[in-house]
Amino acid sequence: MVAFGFSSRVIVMVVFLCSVGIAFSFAGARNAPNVILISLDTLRADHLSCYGYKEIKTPFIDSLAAEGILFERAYSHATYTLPSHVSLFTSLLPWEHQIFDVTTRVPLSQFPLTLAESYQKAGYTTVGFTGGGLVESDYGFNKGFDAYEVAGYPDEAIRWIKEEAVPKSSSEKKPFFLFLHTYETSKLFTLRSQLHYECSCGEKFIQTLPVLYDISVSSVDAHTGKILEALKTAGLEDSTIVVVTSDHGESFCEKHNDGLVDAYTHNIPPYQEQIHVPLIIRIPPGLDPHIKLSRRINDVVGLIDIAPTLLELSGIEVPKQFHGTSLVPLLRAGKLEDRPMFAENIAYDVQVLSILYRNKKYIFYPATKAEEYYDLDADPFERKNIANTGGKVVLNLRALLVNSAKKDGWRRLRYREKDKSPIDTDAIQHLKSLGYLK
Amino acid sequence: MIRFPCRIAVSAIFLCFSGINLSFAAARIKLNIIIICLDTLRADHLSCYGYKEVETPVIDSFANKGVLFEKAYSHETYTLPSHASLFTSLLPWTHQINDIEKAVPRSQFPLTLAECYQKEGYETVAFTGGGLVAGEYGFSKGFESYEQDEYRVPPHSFESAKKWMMKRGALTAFPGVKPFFLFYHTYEMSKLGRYKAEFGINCSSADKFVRILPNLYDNSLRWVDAEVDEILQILKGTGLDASTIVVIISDHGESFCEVHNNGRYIAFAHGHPPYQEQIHVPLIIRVPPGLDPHIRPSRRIKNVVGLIDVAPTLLDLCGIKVPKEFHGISLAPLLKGMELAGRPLIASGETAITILYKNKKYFHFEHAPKLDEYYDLDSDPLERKNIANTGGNAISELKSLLFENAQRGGWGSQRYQEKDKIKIKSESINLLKSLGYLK
Repeated sequence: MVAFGFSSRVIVMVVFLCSVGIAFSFAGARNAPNVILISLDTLRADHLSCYGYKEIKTPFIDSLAAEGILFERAYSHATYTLPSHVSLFTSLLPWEHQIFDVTTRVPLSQFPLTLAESYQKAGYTTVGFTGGGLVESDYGFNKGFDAYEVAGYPDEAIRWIKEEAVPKSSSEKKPFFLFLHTYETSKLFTLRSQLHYECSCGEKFIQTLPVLYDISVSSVDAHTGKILEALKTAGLEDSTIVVVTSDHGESFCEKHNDGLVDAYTHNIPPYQEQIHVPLIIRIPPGLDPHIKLSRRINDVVGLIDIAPTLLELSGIEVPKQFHGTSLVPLLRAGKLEDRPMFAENIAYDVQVLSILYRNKKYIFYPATKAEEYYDLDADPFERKNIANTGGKVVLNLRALLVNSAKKDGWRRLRYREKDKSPIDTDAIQHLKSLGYLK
Repeated sequence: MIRFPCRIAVSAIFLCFSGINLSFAAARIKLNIIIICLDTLRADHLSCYGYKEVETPVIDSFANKGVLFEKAYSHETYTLPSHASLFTSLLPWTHQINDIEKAVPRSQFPLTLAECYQKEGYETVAFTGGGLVAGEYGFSKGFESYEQDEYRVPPHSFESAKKWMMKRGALTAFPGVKPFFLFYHTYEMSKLGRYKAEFGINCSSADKFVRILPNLYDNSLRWVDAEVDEILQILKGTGLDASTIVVIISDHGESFCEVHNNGRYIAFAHGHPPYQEQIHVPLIIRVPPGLDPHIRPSRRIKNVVGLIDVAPTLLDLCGIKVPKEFHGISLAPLLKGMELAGRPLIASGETAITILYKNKKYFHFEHAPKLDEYYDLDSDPLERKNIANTGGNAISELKSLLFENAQRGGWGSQRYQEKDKIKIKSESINLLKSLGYLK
C-alpha cells in the first residue's frame, strides 16, 4: 500500500513535469506538427502522372497527392537552383533577395531571414540533407539549421527518420523541420555541358531527352516513396506535414518565341515548362478541422508562398520579412485574391523578368527592352510571340511587372560588392563542369 | 637598300628547294602516318558501311579516296586489350594486357608499332583520351610525347593534335625534318557509358529507353565526322596529305541491347563476348595518291582482316621491315589488288574466345565449356540462334582450329608475374569506376 502510494506520487510528478515541458517548448505552437519539405530539383510538374502525364506513372507522389492537396498551378520564381531555393527559403522574390551569383556568397549576417530560422526559434529541430552544389551551406543556406549536410537521397533521410526523428522519451519531444533535396532529375543539365549535345543535334536526339528524363523521374518517385514509407513505419505520418515541390522545371528543346528559342535543360528564360513545378502538401488529418484533404487547387501560387503557409500550419507567426502569402485559406477551401506570379532569371549575365497574370504571360529583357507576350489560353506552349499586337494588355502587364519590381527593390543593391566573398576555387571548377559557369 | 632584301629572298627560295629536294630524296620510304582511332565506333553505323539513319559525309569521302575494309575486326571488346593488339600486333591471349588495375612491367611490354617508327627516325606523338589508353599501361612506349585527357571536359587532346599538325605542316619544307607517326584517339563515340552510369539503366529498363540508344550513339557521329574533317583540312592546307598515310579505325563496337544466343544474352555498350556488333569495326586506309599505281582509290575489300594487321601493313607501306614479333600480316597486297589467303579471325571478350572463319562463328566460354555457341553468319548475321547442338562436324573443326591457335598463341599461360606488375594510379581507377569499368 505504501509502495503504491509512493509510485502514484512519482507518476503525478512526471505528468506535471511533462506538461510543463510541453507548455514550454510549444508555447504558441498548439500541437506543433513536424514538417518535411522535399525539393526535387529540376522536376517539371507535367511529367508526374498526378499532373496528367501519360508516358510514365509516378505512383508514390501520386498517392501523396491523393491523400493531400495538389496545387495545379504552382510556379517557381527563377529557373535555376540557387535563386529559386533562396526564394523558397526566404519567401522573397529574386529581385528582392538578389542572390544569383554562383561565384560569391553574401555575408551570412545579411542573408535574409529563413524558414529554418523561424522554425529554430519556435523550438524545432532543424535538419537539412541536400545534393550540395548550388544549395551548399557555402551560399548561406545552412542559416537556421541545426545540421545541414550534403547527403544521398533517400538513404540519409530514411536513416534520420528511423534513428533521430522519433523522440527517445517524451521529455525530449521536439518537433522537427526536415529539408530534403536531390539532383536526381537534373542529370540532363550535367550531361549537356559534358557531352556538348544541343537541340541542333536534331529530332532523333531531341526524342531521347524526355525518355532519359523520365527514367530519373521514376527513380526519384520511388525514392520519395521510400521516405514516406519510413515516416509511416516510424509512426510519424499522423504528426508530420509533407511538402513535395521543385525549384524549376526542364525543357526538351521546346520552341518558343516564333522559333527563335530552342529551350534546353534549364537556367533559361521563364517559359512555362521552366517554372511550372509540382506543389503537393499532405497535412495530418486533425491538424486543422477546416482543411479539406484529397483536393486539387487551381489557384496560381508561387514557391514564396510555401514558407508562410508552413509557419501558419505550424502555429508560428509569419514574420513580416516574408513576402509570400499563406495558402492556408485555400487549404481551408476559402479564397485568395488573384495574384500575378513573377519570375526573374540572370543567366550568363542576361537578365529576364516575367509576369503571369490571368493566363497572360509577359517576358521582358531589361537590357535590350525585348518583349514577349503570350496568351496562354490560346497558346499554352508560348510558341507565338504576340507582343507587337498585344496592345493595352502588354502595356498593363509591363507596368505591373516593372512597378512591382521597383517597389520590391529591383536595382537597389542589397549587398555591397566588397562584403561578398568568393566561393572556393574547387567549387567554381565544379560549377564550370556542370555548365553553370563558362 | 634594294640588294639586301633580294638576297634574303633568294636564300629563302634556295632553302625551300633544298628542303624539298631533301625530303623527296627519301620520299619513297619516309611517309608520315596518322592513325585516327574513334574508340567504340561500330562499322555498321557509318554510311560508307551502309548505315542509313545518319550520314558521315567526311568519313564517306575519305573512304572514296582510300581503301575500305568491309570486314575488319577487333580482337577484344574493350579499349585496353584491343589497343594493346593494335600497337603490338599480338592477339590478346598473347600480349595478355588486360588488367585495368595493374600495368605490366614496362621492360616486358611487347614491341610496339611506335617503337618501330622511332627506330626508323620518326617523330612519334600521341594525343589520346587517356583512361584505358593511358600511357601508364605501357602505351606510351616508343612515343616521344604522349598526351592524354583523363576524361577532362572538354577534351584538349584534339586541340593539341591540331596545333601539332599545323606546326609540323609549316616545317615540312625545311631540311632535316623527321617524318612523323601520329596516333589520335577519342572517346567521343563512347558516351553511352556515361548515360549508363548517370541514369543507372540497362536493357531491362524500358522499351522506350532501348529504342533511343542508337539515337544517343548516332548523335556522336557528327562530332567524330567533324573532327576527322578538321584533321583532313589541316593535312590538305599544309600539304602534308601528299606525304601522309591516314588510317581510320576503332578498337571495338557497341551494343544496343541486341539479343543473342536464343534470347539468353542481351548486350549493352561494350566489354561483352565478341558478338559481331562488338568487334566489327571500320578500317579505312588512305595512301597519298601516286605512292603506288596499284593502290586505287574507292577500293572495297571483302577479306576478313584484324586490327593486328594494321601495324605490319603500315610498316610495309613505309618500306620498313616488319619485325618477327608482330603476329599480324601486311595487308599491302590487298591494297594493291592482289589476293591473300583467307584466315580465321580470332577474338576474345568477357570470358569467351571466338573464331570466325568462312562466315561461321564459334564461341567457347572459359568458365562454362559446355555452353558453346555456334552461328552461321550467312543465315543468322545477328547471332540470334545458337545452333551449337546441331552444327555437327563444322563445329568440331572450328573448335580445334580455335584451340590450335589458342595454344600456339599462349592462351592460359602467364606472360608476366603478378608481383612485377605496377598498380595504376588511384585517381585513374576512380575515374574508371565512375564510368562503370570497375566495380
